[in-house]
Amino acid sequence: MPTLTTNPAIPASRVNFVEINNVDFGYDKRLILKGISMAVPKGKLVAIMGGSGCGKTTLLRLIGGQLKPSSGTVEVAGQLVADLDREQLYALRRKMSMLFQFGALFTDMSVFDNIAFQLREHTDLPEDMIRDLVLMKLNAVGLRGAAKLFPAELSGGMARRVALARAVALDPELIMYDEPFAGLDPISLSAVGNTIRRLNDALGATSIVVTHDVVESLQIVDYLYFVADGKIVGQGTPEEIRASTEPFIKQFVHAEMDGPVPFHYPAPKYADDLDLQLPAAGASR
Amino acid sequence: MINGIRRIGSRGIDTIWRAGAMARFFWLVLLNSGMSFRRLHLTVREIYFAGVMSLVIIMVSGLFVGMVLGLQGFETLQKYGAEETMGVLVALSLVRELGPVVTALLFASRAGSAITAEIGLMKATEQLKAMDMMAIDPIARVVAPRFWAGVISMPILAALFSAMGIFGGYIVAVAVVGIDPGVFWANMQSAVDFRYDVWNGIIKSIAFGIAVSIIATFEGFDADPTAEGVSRATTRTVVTSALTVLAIDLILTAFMIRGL
Repeated sequence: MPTLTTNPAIPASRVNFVEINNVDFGYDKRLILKGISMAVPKGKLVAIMGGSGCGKTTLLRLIGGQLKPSSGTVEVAGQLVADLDREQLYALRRKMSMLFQFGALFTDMSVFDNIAFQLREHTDLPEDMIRDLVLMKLNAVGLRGAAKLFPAELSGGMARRVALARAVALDPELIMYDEPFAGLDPISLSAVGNTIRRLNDALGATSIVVTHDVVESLQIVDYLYFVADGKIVGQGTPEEIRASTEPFIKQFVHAEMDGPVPFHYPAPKYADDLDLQLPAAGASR
Repeated sequence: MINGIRRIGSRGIDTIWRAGAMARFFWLVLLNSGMSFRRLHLTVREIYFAGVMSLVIIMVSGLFVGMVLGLQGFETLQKYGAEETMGVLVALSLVRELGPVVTALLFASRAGSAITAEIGLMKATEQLKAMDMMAIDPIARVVAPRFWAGVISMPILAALFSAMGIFGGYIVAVAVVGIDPGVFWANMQSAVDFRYDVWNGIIKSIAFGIAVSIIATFEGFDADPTAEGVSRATTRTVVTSALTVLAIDLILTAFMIRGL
């Protein structure tokens, strides 16, 4: 099992906040993840990268206990997620939070109430203290002035940052980000990326970012895993990834159109589809 | 031929599966109802959206239905020289049957569809998943307050519908037909029995409230998380609620009719 700890005196389970061991997962008979193993050490910011539909978000759902692996184990904070009953799972989830791809802000609540939601649900803090905490979280993402707005009044970047503030409302130990950079303009993208890094360091949290944004990820994360076709096809620190000659990583990092990940979805021969009579040598695709 | 049988079988299995899933969902809602009463403001807020916001359509419809009943009743009753019992006809029709049934149908269309669309959209935009990831049970926090709001609102709305209907009948009887107001009320008071007429109407409206609310919340919770899925779920809520209300009405009426 891969682990980022290099100190043999410290057991991996005490260093790693999340450990995924030889996990298979599929819907019906179609396997999405095949024998995946990875580790996320405490306090680190780790990216899981790969093309669309390769199983990145499924990995986050397995870690969050929304899905159970077909085989293998997912361990979070020393607990086997699949073995937990509902109460134990909810107790574990209070230590973690997740930023959804499109924010998943509660549309019938203001920005302020979105951030205050978990504080009101899970704590008995007085309202004036909740107000101070919410404003602090909003200030951390630069949106204190937007507290009274509703989600429908926010731009995509602002909504993502509000979701970020909501994700850290209870100072979680593990923060999972599902495509936090998708659809953002360069300024918002940089703001969100920097905020993810700052929040991780300020809270002493462990973070997992699922993304396909190579440039931003290489700037902010400590370690990267590459997933393709349900398997880990590469991993390393940003420096190792930049220098990698592994074909998939090279194609992904340098955004090459064709390579181990083919441009074409499997299909019959192009000429056959068009009913063309071509010489055999030029017939395929 | 074989394909046709297969399709019928498949639809049959799907219907039974959905009924089972709804029964299980109903049980889960009951199990997770504590929060709806511990934090009553959650339920009160939903009573406002489901009940108070339905007041206009319910009261106006009640008034019109009562007036139509009065006019239709007059035409028939005058043939037998019994137009003075118009109040009885209007009151019994509304309290025992039309009040609960028409209110439930209107409630399903106005509030039930809104509940389904709201929960369905929350699902489509991952708000329910987000809540679940925050260790907050969406059934307890989102579904149960809406369910109980429907159950509480329905009998009150049905009572208001019947009251407005009786008022509509009174307008027709007194202002149009010229029946003496005292006779109108006195006949009604002597003919309408609280236990057998009013109370049975209340029981019906509670049963309809439970049925419509659980259908509306289930369809929203079970909706495909797409625009089309939410649209289909909303339609299913109205159609299934209407059929269920009428079926329950038949069963309850059969039990409630004296002398059978």
